[in-house]
Amino acid sequence: MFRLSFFIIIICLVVCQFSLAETDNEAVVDGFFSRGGHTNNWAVLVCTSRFWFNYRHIANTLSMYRTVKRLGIPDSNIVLMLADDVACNPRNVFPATVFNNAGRYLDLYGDNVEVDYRGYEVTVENFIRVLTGRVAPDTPRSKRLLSDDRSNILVYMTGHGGNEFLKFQDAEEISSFDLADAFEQMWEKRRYHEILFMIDTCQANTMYSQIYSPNILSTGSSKLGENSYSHHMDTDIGVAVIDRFTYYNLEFLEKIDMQSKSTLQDLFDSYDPSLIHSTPGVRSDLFRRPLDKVLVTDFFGSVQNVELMGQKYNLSNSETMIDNTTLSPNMSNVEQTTVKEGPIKFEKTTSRNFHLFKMNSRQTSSSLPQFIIASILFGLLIRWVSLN
Amino acid sequence: MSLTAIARLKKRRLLVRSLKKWIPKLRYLLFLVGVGWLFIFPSEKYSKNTYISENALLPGQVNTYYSWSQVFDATAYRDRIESLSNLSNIEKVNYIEGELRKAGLKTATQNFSVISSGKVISGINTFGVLNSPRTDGTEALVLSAPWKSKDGVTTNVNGIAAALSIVKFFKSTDYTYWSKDIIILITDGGEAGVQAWLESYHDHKQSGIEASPLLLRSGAIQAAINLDFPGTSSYKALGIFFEGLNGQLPNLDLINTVIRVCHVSNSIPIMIHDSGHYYTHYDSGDYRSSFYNLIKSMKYQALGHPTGSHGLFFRYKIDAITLYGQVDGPGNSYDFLEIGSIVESTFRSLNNLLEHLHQSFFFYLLPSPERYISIGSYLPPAILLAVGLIFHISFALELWGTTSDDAIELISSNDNVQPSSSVNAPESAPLAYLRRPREILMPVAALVISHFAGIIIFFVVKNHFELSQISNIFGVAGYLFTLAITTNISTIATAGLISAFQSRSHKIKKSDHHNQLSPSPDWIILKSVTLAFTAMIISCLSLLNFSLAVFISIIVVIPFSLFQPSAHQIIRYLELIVLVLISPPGILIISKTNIEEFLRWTIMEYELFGNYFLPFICCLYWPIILVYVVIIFSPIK
Repeated sequence: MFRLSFFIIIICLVVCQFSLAETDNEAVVDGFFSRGGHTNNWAVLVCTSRFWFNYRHIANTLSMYRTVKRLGIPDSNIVLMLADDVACNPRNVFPATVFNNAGRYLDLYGDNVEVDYRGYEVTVENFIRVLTGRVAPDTPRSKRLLSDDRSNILVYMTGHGGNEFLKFQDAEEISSFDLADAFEQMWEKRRYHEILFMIDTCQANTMYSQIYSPNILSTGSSKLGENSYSHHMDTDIGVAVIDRFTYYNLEFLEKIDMQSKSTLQDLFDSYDPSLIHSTPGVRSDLFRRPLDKVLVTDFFGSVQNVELMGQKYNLSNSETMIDNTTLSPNMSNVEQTTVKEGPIKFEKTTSRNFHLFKMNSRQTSSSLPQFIIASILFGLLIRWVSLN
Repeated sequence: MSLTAIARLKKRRLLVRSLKKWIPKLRYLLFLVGVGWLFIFPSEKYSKNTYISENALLPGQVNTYYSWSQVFDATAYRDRIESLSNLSNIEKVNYIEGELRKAGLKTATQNFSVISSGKVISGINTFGVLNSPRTDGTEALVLSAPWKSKDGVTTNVNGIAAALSIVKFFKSTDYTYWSKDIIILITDGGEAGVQAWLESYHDHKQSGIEASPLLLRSGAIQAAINLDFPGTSSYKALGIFFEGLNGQLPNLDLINTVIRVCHVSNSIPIMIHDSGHYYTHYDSGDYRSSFYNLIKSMKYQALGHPTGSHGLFFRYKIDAITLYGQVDGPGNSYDFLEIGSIVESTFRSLNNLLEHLHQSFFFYLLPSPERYISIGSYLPPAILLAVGLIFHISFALELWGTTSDDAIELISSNDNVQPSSSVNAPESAPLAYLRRPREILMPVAALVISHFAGIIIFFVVKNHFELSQISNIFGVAGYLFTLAITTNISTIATAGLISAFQSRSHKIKKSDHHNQLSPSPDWIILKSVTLAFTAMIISCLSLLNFSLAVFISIIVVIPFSLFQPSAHQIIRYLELIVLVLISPPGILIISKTNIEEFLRWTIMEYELFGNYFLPFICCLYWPIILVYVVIIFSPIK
């Protein structure tokens, strides 16, 4: 009896599926582009300045660090390069704190800041080694970028720069060519799926001008010949606490949580040159997805795609058992469909994965009728079972 | 000689002739341009706005917390210090030390004494160290206040009271943001006290000051602020004194920081020195006031005279500045509250420093507090004046003509006799070449001897106060005695040289060689050498002490260019009078300086601080004048 009802449900679902496929071609195409296709997220956050009066650069970087952590990237997936000479600087009126706002609402240094490259370790060499993975064998895991070809990486840099260079701690500088070649090497070594390169420095847009590797999206704070300015200062700490570009990025990012459907296009549209006092730039010619399909959380967060299987794997290597009673039937049904339809339907079925946290608008709308039908059928099933 | 060589010589002759024609005019033009250029300096268009070059300073960006409770402290200190000012050194020092101890500072004192320029200078310095709580104390800032104000008479009551209250506030504050130790230094005995303290602090004994060693030290001093607020009244304007020993200047960033802080936090009118020309923010002043400021500043620089206690820190690579309270002026008066917040804010800025002040200019002129002329803009006039002298040697004196191998004249004579010579002389025969001998030994010897005389003069002047003991026996004023000795030395040196030259010229006349032109007169070579030497002195000095170089060159360039032996005795004596007037004693008498006092402070500054004004004048400037006396009395041929 039970098996019969189950069979009926499956048939209904398949029919429903086919009927939907006819009307939902556009959604499929959209789905193809909008899918991140990444399985893990990494962030490389670099503050290339040191010294007390560059407080704001450290605050910038720690603000981004806080944001990506808040949106789900764990410390193990963040490489934070920071001079870190500010929080415990004797000049700091509020010892062991870093604030990014004169209101001092939030201590960025509060708890659990894991700086991977500190002080004089922040060098061009170390930065490029981290990106390209050419680190010494005894380098601890926390100091490595252990990404793969399914990794989305956020590379955020801030400091003092100029036309096609960024200064590293008064001692050396990285040029836009170095950066482009490092990214190319990463691509060749399949170390990333997509990269968002974000830089806040003077003439920042020149830094991404030489990048030539695919799937890299870049944004910078100011164009050639423009300075990037600080946003405001704290008159007790006595220094500027944050830069304008980062400030307005954060203003957008602070409103986002892991379920957010905001796209990078929304972020870039929020840039207002009159507020930032410079002309932010976006370079998307190497990036294959349309920006209004790319979620902010694709780069700034790590939203885990939880894939619930209908099957229960027996760890003791015996026969695989199917247990419907422990799972909610609609989910199990979906998975069953996947199994039945095989590899041809693979693309489509993965789009129907239940995104526990990630709420892609297009995907949600295309699977909505299926849910309704499945629910009705489920109701009928319950009713039918109870009647018997 | 080949035809091409002759053509080359002809070309050269043409060039030299045209140069000869134009250079004499050009050198006067150079002088006029050089001097005229100096008069452009005060123009607002010539100077630029000052700016903060060191990113770390961030002046005036912090809230200041020096407030009324600190003002009450300062007022109490003021009343007590005023009542102390007639008491002995020991009692004053005990009071200051006690107050610093009460505030929680480590304190120490230093006795010193020195005999200089016939006087015994002695005193007790008091100082305290506020150890920064969160650093290792490798760096320090100094807040100093001398007991006496810059006039040497008034007690610096408010200055010391403000310094005490500020340091007490720094120590008691809840904030522990000091990255450098703070040293409060109350000096005694004028600038000698500062010198004694600095020498002991750096363990660098240089003058004859006998000082007890310092029992308390801190790190390398990064900067110093000296407070000079005489009396007990309130003030209307703030004077900035920055010229140091030998015309050294603090880094412009330090001055900019203080001025920025004053304008941003309290809008107190600023003066350069105590000029009486007041400046508000972004005020660049008019031509007259700028001119006045520049002249005053250049005068201080040229004399190498430190304009306050700050001026002695520069030798130890410490940038320092004196803040002076001007009692009269426009607008509202200000008091401890403003002084305290200016110092607090300035110290917060200096506290931000990561290394010595080095970003901004060390060589500059300030026509007004927020306008500067950098070395690149002010150096050309001095160089033009020196170049004028060099041109004079080369062309006006016809160094290529009269003093050397006269190839040009030869060619022209050769041209005329071309047909005959080509017939008579074989092709390979060398061209007959007339030589004009240059006797360089004697003129150089004259220069050396007069400088040697200069050194003797220097030692006489240096020992003026010992010599004045002898002069007292004769019953004449000490300075007259020294003057007489020095003048005698200079006269003997020149007279000896003149007679030597004259007897030599007789000898040369007798032994006239054939096949040679008559040797060039000695005075031409002597003048050439002297002018070259003068030009060298001016151009070198313009880098070390621009103001002194400018004053020297303005005085000497025109007389040195014009003067030469004349056939008329009257003209020779007129030239002599001018030379006597521009010699150091002449200048002192014309300017009606109190010679006794002038000698006293130049000698004291030389002995105690190492001011090079006196040796420069005696060993370099005066001898050149002496050489010129020799030149004008040399035989013409």
